[in-house]
Amino acid sequence: MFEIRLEKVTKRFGNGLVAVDSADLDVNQGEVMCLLGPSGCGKTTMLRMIAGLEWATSGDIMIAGKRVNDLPARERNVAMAFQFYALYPSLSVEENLAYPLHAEKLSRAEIASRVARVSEALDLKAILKRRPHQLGEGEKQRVAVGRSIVRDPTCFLFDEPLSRLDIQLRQTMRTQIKEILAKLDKPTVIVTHDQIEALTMADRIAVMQKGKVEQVASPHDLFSQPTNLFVASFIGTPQMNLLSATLADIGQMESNGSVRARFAVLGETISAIVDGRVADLAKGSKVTLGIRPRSFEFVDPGTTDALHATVDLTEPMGAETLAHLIEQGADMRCVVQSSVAPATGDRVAVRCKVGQLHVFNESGNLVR
Amino acid sequence: MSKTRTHVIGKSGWPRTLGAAVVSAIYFFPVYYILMTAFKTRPDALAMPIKFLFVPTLDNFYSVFWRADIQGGGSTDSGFSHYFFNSLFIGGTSVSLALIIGTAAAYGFSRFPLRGNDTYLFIILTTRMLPPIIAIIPIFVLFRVFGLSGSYTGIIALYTAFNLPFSIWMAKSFFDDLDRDIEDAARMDGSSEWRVFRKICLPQVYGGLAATFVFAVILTWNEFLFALMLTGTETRTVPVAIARTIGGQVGVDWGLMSAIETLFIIPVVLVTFVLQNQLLRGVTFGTIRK
Repeated sequence: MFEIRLEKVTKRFGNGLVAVDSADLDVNQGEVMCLLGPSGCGKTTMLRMIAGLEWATSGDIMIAGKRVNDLPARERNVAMAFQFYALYPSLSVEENLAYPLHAEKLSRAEIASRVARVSEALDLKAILKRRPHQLGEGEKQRVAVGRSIVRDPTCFLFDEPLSRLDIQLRQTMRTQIKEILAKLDKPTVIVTHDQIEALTMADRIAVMQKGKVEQVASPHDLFSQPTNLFVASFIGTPQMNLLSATLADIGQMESNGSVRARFAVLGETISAIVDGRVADLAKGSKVTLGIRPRSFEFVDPGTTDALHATVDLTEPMGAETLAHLIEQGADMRCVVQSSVAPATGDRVAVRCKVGQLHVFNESGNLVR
Repeated sequence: MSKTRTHVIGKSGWPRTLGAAVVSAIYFFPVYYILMTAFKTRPDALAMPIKFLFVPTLDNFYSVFWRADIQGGGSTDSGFSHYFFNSLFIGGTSVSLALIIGTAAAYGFSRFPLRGNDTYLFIILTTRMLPPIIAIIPIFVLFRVFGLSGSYTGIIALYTAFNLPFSIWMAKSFFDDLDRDIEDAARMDGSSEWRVFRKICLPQVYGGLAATFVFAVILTWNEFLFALMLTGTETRTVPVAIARTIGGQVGVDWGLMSAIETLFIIPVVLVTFVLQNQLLRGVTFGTIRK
């Protein structure tokens, strides 16, 4: 079994900065794990610790069942593709691809056949004799990927693999990398700050903030059950609406474990079916309600459980339109079908769709 | 290609091109004058006003290597072929040594900093801050004590030491500018530190090192002061030998001197010409990458 396991890994730099703070992470065989977070959250440091390019201050890093904390990068047999590709400028594409194989003491013929196989798979045949500076961004990216898969490493690491590509290239490369990773069936860690990249490529995503792993979950779970306010606001475009509210009343517990609760929000009172554990909160507790822009539906003004607001601005996004609603200083973002989009200045009523209301307690954690 | 050229001239305008030509001509004139004098007979070389039209002769070049005997009409070796060899050998060896040691030191300073790294670098730099003439007496004494005066070892060691600070600082700046990710990639690909240096870092700074080489060669090639004090008959370099042709009972033989100088310029011009592409890359290092 190949897998990567991080236990209570901490990285403190010489200047006292704690880049990674007691992080736990498991990546199973064949699993693609994305480290997602804003810049400076420690995701790249974490990747470099797995690679062996940074020493962990404390904690254990296990690769394929073996503790590798004290092994230098060259002995870890880990392949990594760098953000800026890090191709060897003085070597041709062919030599770049062959470079990792020299360390393995393979025969000339074996090296040639492996390089041929990789250049076939990544469509690099035509550019084998070129130097890196003669390549386009997409070609450089393919060479970088090729160089990382030419060996037979225990796991793969990608640092912001698509950040330098333009949008069209990004989509094709995304698909291509995904296909390759599926075939390789090795644990893979991808660092990215782009959530679309993470949501589309990852089996699971680890969301990081300020050196801490906030939540590790599948893309769907991350989206539907964000564990705290940071994850809730970080995942999803447009951002989730977060409204301060007070728990006004709690109804009867339903048989499926959910409960009907009433919240005072923006001067109105709405009721919604929420997770049963909301009942554990005291009446009058301060909570934050999270509603995704696509969880709102427009209803007739005066409908029960609706919030009333004025349309401040609309941004057409093609099939859908993003409407900014203003009420008592709170800005709410709603996504609606462009055909039924309201006009600026309209007074509208919106209601959260059933089961799509997230309740966060005072310390910002999801109540569930 | 020619199309592009015309376009470029057209763009910057004839007046500017003409201006550049005039400035270049002014700079080149002394070199031209030496070249011209090298092919003149003695009366032509001394003629006033300056003769621009004359019958060229190769006599001067012959006299560089063979001195006519006063009696008997034969000729003897002037020793200049040996001096040229000395200049090439001493210059080439010391600059190569300085470059090899300097590159290794620079890589160390850049990648494996010591405690007090900057202090060491500064100390190295201070050796270039003083005018060299200040050090001449201690060095002269040192050479006497160790019996290095007039030896190849002594002058090569001295020139190597002179070129080291420059080589270290130049090479360090080249290494500092390299993308560290590339080295990390090589480490991940299973390279030892030596292989990272040899196969990945070094090839990236060849251009810069070539530029450093040319600068150091020019400096060493022209060095006169220490060569005058510290070389003997066996190790005499061309600049010292040129100086020794001046004076004596016969006055200055301008034609002969110009011929020596013409020959003396050739190696430097050749090195610069061969390495000109590298030179350009070396000087603009860091500005065109990334």
